[in-house]
Amino acid sequence: MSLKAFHLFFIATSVLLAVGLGIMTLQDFLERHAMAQLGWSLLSFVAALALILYATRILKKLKHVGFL
Amino acid sequence: MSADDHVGSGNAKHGFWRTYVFSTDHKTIGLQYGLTAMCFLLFGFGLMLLMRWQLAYPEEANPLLKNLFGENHPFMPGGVMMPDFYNQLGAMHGTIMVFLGIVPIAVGAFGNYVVPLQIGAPDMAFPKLNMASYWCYFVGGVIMLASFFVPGGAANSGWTSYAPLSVIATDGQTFWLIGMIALITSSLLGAVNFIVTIIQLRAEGMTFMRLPFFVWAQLVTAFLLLLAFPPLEAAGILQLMDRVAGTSFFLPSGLVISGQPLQVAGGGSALLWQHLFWFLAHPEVYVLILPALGIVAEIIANNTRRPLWGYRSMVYSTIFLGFMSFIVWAHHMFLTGMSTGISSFFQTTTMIISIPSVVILTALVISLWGGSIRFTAPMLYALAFLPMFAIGGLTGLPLGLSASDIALHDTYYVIGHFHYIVAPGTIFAVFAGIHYWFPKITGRKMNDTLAKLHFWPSLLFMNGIFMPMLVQGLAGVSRRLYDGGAAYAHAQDVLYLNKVMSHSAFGLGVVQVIFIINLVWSIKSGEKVSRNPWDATTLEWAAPSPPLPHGNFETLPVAYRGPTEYSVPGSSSDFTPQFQAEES
Amino acid sequence: MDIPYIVHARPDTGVNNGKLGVWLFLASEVMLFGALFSTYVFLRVGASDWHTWHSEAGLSIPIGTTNTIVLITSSITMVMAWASLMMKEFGKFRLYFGLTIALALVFMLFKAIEYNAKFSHGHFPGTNNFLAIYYVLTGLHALHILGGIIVNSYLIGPGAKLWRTNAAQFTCRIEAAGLYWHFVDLVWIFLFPTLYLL
Repeated sequence: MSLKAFHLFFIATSVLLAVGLGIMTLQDFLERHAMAQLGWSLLSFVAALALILYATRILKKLKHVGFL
Repeated sequence: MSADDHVGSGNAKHGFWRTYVFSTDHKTIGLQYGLTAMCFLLFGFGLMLLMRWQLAYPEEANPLLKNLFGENHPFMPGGVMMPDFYNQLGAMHGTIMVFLGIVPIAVGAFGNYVVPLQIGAPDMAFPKLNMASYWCYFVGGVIMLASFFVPGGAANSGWTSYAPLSVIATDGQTFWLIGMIALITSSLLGAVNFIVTIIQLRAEGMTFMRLPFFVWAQLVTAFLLLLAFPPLEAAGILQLMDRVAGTSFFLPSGLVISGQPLQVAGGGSALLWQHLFWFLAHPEVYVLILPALGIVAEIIANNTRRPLWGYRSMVYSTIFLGFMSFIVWAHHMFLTGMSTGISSFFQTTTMIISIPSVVILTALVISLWGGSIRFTAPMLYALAFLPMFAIGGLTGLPLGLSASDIALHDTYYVIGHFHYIVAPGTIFAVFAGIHYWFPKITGRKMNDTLAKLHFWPSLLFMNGIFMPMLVQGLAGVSRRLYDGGAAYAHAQDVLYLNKVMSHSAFGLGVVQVIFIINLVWSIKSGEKVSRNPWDATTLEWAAPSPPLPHGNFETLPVAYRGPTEYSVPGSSSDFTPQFQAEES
Repeated sequence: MDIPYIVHARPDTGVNNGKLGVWLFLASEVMLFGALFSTYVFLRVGASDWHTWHSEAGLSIPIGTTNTIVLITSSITMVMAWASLMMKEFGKFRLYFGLTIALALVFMLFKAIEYNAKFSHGHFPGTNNFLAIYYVLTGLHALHILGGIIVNSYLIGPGAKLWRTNAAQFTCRIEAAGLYWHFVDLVWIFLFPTLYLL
């Protein structure tokens, strides 16, 4: 598995972490109605989205590199 | 291959240090491993001889060592062994034999020397890593030896270092842990190197199903080392933290030692250590035996002059064995209060793992059938290996069943069982391998008469040591007794066996001198032979003896056929080497 | 005779020696950290007051999150460095690879601040088993980061000479270093929620 493949796997895991964080803080907001938690939640989702956008760009950039 | 591929070891002439000490040549490193490991085997055996004296003659002064130790020596005042010292010997005998003796000689020495030759490679894939691996092993060995000289002596909690006893033991245990971390690092580097070498550096035409069985055995062994050792490294780090940083990973709450409550946070688990330890140590058992099976398979094919029976089944069995060995570890822990459900699971996997072992052994036995057997020195050891390994394997079955294990657990039966596998099993295979590949290493054969003079008494004495252990164990004698059971009523009937075993052990020690003489004498004065003295088929015999430094072969060989093409119908000779192009 | 397949992939296996070696090494690292994570589970399941220990330890989620972002960024710069080499832009490589090392140092700095705060509150490994496994896991991870810093500093310093003599092999080395670095970062992606959030 090349660095390209591993990098995409790593970014995917990071996205999962960010989404998980977003859900966790959102739940906390719904339970305790703390506005700060909502902010953190939004930030996490934005981060997840940014990572996904980044992943599509790097895929294009490294088009000629194999996955093996 | 393009120009930028040429960055390997090169043929440059090196000075003394780079040629003999810090060499990156796999052959030199293999010999370094072999010599160091043989010294450790001898040393570990020596520790055992001390123990055997004590077991046969409890608390009597050892006549040979009476004057070596002073009257106030903490280990053996006036030649009488102290119980503490007995515990040190037990722990260090196990550690040295397993981690510093058998594994380095079976994997480090034979693997390093023979694998690149058998696959037709110029060297290992990472020569510098190979050197680092040897020196990590060396450092680990030195630390282990040094631990005898710290206050309180070496580690004394058994080679398994069960917590919490090991956590509260003397400083020797800390040395043991640090030594183990060095040895594990060495094994990991070696394992990576072996796997890459076997997968990447096979010669042209050397497909996986044309690999000699020895190479397959080494490949699976390397995977076991790679994946099983890190958990022990983790466990070692945790135990080191327990001992040095005051954590309580393995210390349960409310531990009281000599009437004093232990001042630690508590909340840990002694069983955690056992799980982590046996997760390594069960695959480790197969690390000890697989290379031996590989050596024996090579020698049997060569000396029966016929192909191995069921080569493919042997290969698949070895791979299956490797997988299964990761899910049998808790059969060492049936008596720790595990639930019966878990016991049943591990009992089942244990019974399943015996199937591939039996397949391999059966294939080797059937390979003898109809062969025209040459009783050469290596073949004698290889033939003796078969029944000895069978006894060792079959005596393991009652231990793998949780019901019968209740009676046999921690008795001499266990000792007898695994020593049958490792001592007359693996060590005989090692002797076989040394006699078999000695001509490749030196260009000379070892003396046949001396080999037979060494073989027969060794076989006799080995059985003299280990067979009575099975008897004692069935009588219920515990494996951990300092006096060999003299203080126990139920042991009285089998106590005389202690003397049988001890005298066999001393005898075994004496006949090893013959082997050492043969080894040293043959290097200079053995009968000179051609590069393929056994009429063998595998690629190592295409290289000159000894193979060329840094590169092995004059021209890289090509594999044209399977590894054991003996007595091919219609062929002019009874062997068709892998490197021979076409029958003329 | 030279060792084949150091730079170019062996046709029938599809990889070169170094890449296979690094992946095997990483497999053993998975087992190492896997054993420690199992230890975490084993201890936590058996503990009576894990949550008390956890809240007493008072791990700082902001610092942990910052370090997570730092490591994800360092992985991105690592890939950029490797991509620059493949486009033969050595200057860009120096920039991105230097950034990777700098980010690793930032991570270590935060780690030091965190450890220091723990020590000043009297929270040592021996205090309770949560702190014990926390120190072992993060400590071992920090050692891996340190190892990465040392190797990467060699590769950008004296090791960079190889670029002029054998660019293909140098790119292979950077890829291997990148694989290792990604693994270390991946471990943190699992460590962070396990220790800080759960």
